Amino acid sequence: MDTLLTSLALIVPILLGGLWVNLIIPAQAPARSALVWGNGTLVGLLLIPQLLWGLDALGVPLSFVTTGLLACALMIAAVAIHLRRDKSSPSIPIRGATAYAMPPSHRALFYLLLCLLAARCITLGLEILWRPLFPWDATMHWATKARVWFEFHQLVPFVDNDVWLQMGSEGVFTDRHPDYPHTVPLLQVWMNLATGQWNESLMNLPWLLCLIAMGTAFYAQLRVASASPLTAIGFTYLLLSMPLVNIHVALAGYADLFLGATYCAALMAFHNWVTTGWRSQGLLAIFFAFGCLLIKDEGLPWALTFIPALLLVPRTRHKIAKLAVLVSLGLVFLVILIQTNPAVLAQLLGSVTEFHPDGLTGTIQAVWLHDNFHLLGYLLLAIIPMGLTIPGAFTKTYLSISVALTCAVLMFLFLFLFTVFGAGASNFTGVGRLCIQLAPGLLFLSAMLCNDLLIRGREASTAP
Amino acid sequence: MIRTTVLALLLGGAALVAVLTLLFPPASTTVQQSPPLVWNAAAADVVFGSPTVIDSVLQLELDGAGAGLVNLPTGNIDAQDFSFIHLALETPAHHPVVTIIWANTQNPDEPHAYMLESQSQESLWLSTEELRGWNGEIDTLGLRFSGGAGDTVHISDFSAFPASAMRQLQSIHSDLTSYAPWNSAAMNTYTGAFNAASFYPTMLAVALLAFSLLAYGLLLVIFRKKLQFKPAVVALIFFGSWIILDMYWQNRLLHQLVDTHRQFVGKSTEEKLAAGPDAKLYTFVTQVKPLLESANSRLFVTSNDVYSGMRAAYYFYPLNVYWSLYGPALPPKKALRSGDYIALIQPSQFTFDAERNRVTAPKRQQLKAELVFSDPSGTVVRLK
Repeated sequence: MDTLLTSLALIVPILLGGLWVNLIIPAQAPARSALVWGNGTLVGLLLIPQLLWGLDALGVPLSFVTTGLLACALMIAAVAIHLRRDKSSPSIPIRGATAYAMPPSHRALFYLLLCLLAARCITLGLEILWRPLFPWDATMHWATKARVWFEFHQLVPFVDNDVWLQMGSEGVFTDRHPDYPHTVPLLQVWMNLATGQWNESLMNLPWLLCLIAMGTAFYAQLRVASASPLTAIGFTYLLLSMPLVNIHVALAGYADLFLGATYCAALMAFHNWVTTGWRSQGLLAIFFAFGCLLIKDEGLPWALTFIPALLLVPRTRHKIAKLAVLVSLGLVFLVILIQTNPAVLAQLLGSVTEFHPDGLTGTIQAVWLHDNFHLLGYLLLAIIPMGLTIPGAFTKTYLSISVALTCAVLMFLFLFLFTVFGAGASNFTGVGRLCIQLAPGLLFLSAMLCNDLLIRGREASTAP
Repeated sequence: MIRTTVLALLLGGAALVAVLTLLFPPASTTVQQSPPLVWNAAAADVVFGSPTVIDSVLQLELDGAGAGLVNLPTGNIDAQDFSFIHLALETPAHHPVVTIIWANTQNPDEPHAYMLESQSQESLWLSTEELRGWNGEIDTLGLRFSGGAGDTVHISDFSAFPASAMRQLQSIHSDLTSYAPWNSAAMNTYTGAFNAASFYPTMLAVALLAFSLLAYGLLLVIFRKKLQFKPAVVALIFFGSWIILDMYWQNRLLHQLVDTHRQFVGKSTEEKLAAGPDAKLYTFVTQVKPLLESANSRLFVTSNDVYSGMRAAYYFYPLNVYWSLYGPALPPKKALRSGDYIALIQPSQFTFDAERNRVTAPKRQQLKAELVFSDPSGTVVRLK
């Protein structure tokens, strides 16, 4: 029975997100199924906790049945909309929709890589199923909330140690980071609500789902970006084989993987919105960019990287009105930040220090010496200069995603080189985990550049 | 294209082997003159434990304290004559701690030790260059075991060798295929190498990639009439190097999976926690929880050890738990009230004086309390 209920708890987010994403993805999109179910699963994994949160806000106790019924209603609505659609409406002609058939050797390699990926997911899945909650921060400030919310069937507030003491602990709980977003603990609550008992292994299965969804969406978005199936699966293999990414699945409990997947999904959709103009990609980009805010505090700076990128999108570049709106939004956001919580800004400014050479050493070691991401660091070192040889690569084709990622990398470097958080790089406690949040997006850009170079090489060799 | 890629990778691999053995041999290769110290089970000096020799295997049963110690009859040897140590051990599934110990004649009272990080000990080659303190004249070289009373370990080989290209490659292979279970730092970084490893695997993969690309360039020059430069071959060489590096990571993951299976399979959440790394702490908490008067009681967790304090606090949830990482371990006395519980997790600066019913700590007011539960992991008291 537990197996059935756990499976149901995993299927609901897949169906919920998938059915809604299915409504917006054009019929002729390359690798459409992967695009729908990869992105859809990520959407579902973000939505389910929000449903729990919303029901709690309305005073409804946390319940698998209630939330499941609400999710079912949303799924039925999606199916109804799908069925009522006018099937005769002309489909949008899509670049790259007709992927060339693979030669047998490519097909064999494709399936070999797929099998290797399946084997990896099984390995990681078994590790999750057998192991109780293990990692440090998971038991310090993520699962603490899940444990209490599951027990009380409501989102009992968590406050700082000092506030907890001042309030005499009446109606409040405390842990190390009471202000962290609710999404990840609520996913664990969702899994435990399904079986009705606290299970430290089964509640971590969404991490495996997140990995698979990230890989599926990554493959599909590469296909949309004109990559061949073999190139796309090859780079998906690179993504899903990164040791630190695997570790964050095997030892589930941290939010970094979810943030990395969501930010990457936002970047991919954003880039493909810019290049294809599909409204669906724009909607996904917006959803995932805001989704970053719901996962971890670092989600805010990553979400902000889309603002400069958006300003440089070719089709909006010359529209002064849009630019003005965006700048205004940024200013409004800043004003809100200062007015509602000036301590946040003061804390940010107070953490700035002189150049932190140990932070630089630690960052270099984490990316280029340790095996955290296999050879990703070297791929970036090689592919970015090579990308400069592609006419218009960084000034036109990949401008927007490059700007977003450059902003993210600069913020990452600033954090570890010029703030008190440099210690997180010199002792390796923070740098690798933050890299997880950026690595998928950087690999996506590398994959597209590599694909461009391969296509150009093929064209050059076949030219008369 | 595939054939060219494979050929380039093979040539790159051969070049890597040549460079490693010719340009990076152990430092003292040229001056080594001694014959190897070859394992002889019958001649081994067993200091702790009960030995039984079967063929060339020493079967050692650890003593009542779970200790075992075997010394090699080395006499006085020059450390720089021995670049590699080979170990072949078979230990119980829960892996007792194995340590190589050695003492220099200059400082016989300060022996050096290297605790084996790898749990793949069926055939383990170690480069002595990476062992801190492996220098000067050595008069004692031994293997120390620390496990459960009555545990049996089988020692098939414990030998020391001078440098050779083959041994160097075997040592690198051992480094790459070594395994140790997850630790608390696993979430932060994965180096891919142990402290005693000679090279980072990433560096080896990058070297393989570079040599393979050079080999491809060479093939293009030699077969300029048949071969044409293809970017796809470069991509495949990169991909091949990544996959080779990844296979070692997969190997490590599979080792971990076997270990995890052995430890946890078929157990409920409670049984897993009782068998896991925090077994003592979890057992302590589960014994305490039923003794607390009300589910709404406040519980303050204190410990000098951050990990133990944090884990104990977690296991106490969903009780209303207070544990502070950076603040004072306990709030001021005025913030506490009668009926509050305090868990003193060992090691703790706080002590409970059972005779006077007081919780005491340096430079703090004493707190009146009564004992609720106590075992070696900690003590829980209730404030009066």
